[in-house]
Amino acid sequence: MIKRKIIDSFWNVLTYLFSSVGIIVLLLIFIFVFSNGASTLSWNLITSDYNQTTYVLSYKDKYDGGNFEYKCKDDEYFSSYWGIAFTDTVNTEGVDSVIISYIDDHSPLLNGLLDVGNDNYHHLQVNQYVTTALLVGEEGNIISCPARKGAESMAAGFNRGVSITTLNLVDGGGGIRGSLIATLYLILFTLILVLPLGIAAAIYLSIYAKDNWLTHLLKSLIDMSSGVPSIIFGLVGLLLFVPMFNALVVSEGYSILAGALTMTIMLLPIVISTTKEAIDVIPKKIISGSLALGASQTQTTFKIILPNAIPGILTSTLLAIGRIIGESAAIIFVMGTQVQDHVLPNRGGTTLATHIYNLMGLENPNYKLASAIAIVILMSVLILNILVKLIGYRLNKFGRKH
Amino acid sequence: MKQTNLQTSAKRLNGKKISDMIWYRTFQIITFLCASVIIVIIAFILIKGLSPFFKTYTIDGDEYRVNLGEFLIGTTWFRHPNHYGIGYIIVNTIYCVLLCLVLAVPMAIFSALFITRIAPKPISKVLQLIIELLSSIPSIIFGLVGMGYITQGVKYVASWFGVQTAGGLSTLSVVLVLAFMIYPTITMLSITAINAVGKDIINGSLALGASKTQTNFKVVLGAAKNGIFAGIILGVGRALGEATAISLVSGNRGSGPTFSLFDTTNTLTTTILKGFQDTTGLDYDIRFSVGVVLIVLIVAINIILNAVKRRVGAKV
Repeated sequence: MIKRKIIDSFWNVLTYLFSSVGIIVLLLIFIFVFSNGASTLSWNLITSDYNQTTYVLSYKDKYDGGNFEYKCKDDEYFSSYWGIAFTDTVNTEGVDSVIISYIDDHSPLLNGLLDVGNDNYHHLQVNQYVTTALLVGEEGNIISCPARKGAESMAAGFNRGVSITTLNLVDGGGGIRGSLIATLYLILFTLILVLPLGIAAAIYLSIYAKDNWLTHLLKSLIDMSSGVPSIIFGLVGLLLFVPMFNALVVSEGYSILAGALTMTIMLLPIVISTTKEAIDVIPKKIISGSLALGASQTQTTFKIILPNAIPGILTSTLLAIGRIIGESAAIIFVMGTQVQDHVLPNRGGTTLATHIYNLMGLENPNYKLASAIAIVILMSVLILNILVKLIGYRLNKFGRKH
Repeated sequence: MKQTNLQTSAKRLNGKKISDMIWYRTFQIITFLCASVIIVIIAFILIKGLSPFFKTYTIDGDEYRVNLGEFLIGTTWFRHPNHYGIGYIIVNTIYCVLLCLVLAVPMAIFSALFITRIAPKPISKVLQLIIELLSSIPSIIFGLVGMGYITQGVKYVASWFGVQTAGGLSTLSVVLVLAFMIYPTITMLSITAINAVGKDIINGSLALGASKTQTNFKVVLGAAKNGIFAGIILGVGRALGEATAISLVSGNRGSGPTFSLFDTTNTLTTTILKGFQDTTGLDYDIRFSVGVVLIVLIVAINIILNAVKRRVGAKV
């Protein structure tokens, strides 16, 4: 008896140990992603471009100096001579840098800076990074203000200078705006394609189709394509859809449109099965009641079956969005891995997931930015999951058959 | 007057019938379209994937084609100009998936048992939520964390044994990433299977004097093994088809096979993925041949596992 108990508790302890693995893995993922990415993630990251633009600017004329006034916030340093304020910050690559946080409306810097490269006047903007500034003082001495000395010395240097020899400026960089927009485009186009097709097929299979060998064949063919790995869908997209859009002269090489078609054929089985499940639980008496009252089959389909299947359609939409956000292998083949800032449907680009893949493939993997993107992905997946649960609880009028 | 009424209603009925017919055909055509996707996929991959063995390619002025036998059993990925071999990659792939199953299956079954039969209700609910969340995390994030944590851990462990690793890129890292990825899939299907086991079987076992633990491990698992096996089949499919996450932690091995846990490795999927954007001609087409082999491998393993499932399921 005691031996039995020892053996039993041994097995029980094993179950405790193994079940904790799931918690540990999830914790590790969250710890890694948040410890690396939380400091990088900001609104600025989401709205700025990935590729940096650098400018070399100058203000050659001697400036008499204004007496600008500005109420500085805690971390800001204001140059009253030029009417510009700087703040210490960390750029999207995690390096300490100085950012322009305020420019006075009458500051000469706003419109008067000459771009050395093309002799055009450059419009200085808030949120641009200053890497170095070389100014000339009252007595012709040169004042150098590198970003690593901080915003305070930068503002002090500007107050002593009367003209600017060079101002090295970096605009944006390291942001995920392009990838975010590409992801949204991909979701939009895929849903436009996959929802009508999937819903129509689900209606046919559960309402119209006769119970014969052909229907069984159709069902098993659709089931089979859900077992195909995503990398194969990627190869097919590369083979079929990329040349297709190229031949239609809407794209050159990779395109988001080809990505949407690839994701469509990949998501069809999920959308069909989820919608079909929702249609199958609609009680038969409602449908026969509608038909008995003289409504045609078409009217019954659109006015009785579709409205009642909305929870299922919503669930399949959310599942599809989740899959699109997380998909990487298929998208690499049809949309490429080049991060784009100006996203167009007929050009390639990266989604958030393939942006991570791109960052990890670099010589020095950029863990900080990758983790920040991973936080965005995790949060959207989490929200989608919660929504699916809520729909399951709230909207499913007829309950699930088990 | 009455007749015209009848006529219009007959017309209306006819109109209804026509619109019914149109919608019926539309739905039918769309369904055929959806079902034909799989046929199109297989046809196109086959045609493109078999072309390197039949078409001639001009490399440096000479004409070449690839030898199919050498391709299937070769132990070096590429030798100039036209020698490709993926025999060792097939072996590596199967080896990785096997090791990953050895790790993930016991973990998943024990967790499922804990969640359904042992844990108190609140704990089991939380655990189930965690498993569901884990299963919805995209593979690229597993790859990211695998690169950040798992490869570093593997590098550390390898240094205990005095083994030099390629920065932790190794078979062991691939196996761990795969195991964590398919663990929730198998667990969720096992939970469903265990929940479906009848109360009378469990009560009968308890009434005959078996302890709770004995019942859980011998009776419940026995009754649920069909469902658990279905979960394993799904997990194997996911592990075989996974590409991006393991391409980040596998390293890229030029020749093999390798059975050492700390050596770099490569699977069929990582071979397709690595460097396809930079090549053209034969080197590009051959990746589709790897895709064909991947499909054949998945189908073959599925057939074998389903046969085993039938065998195991019959013996209750």
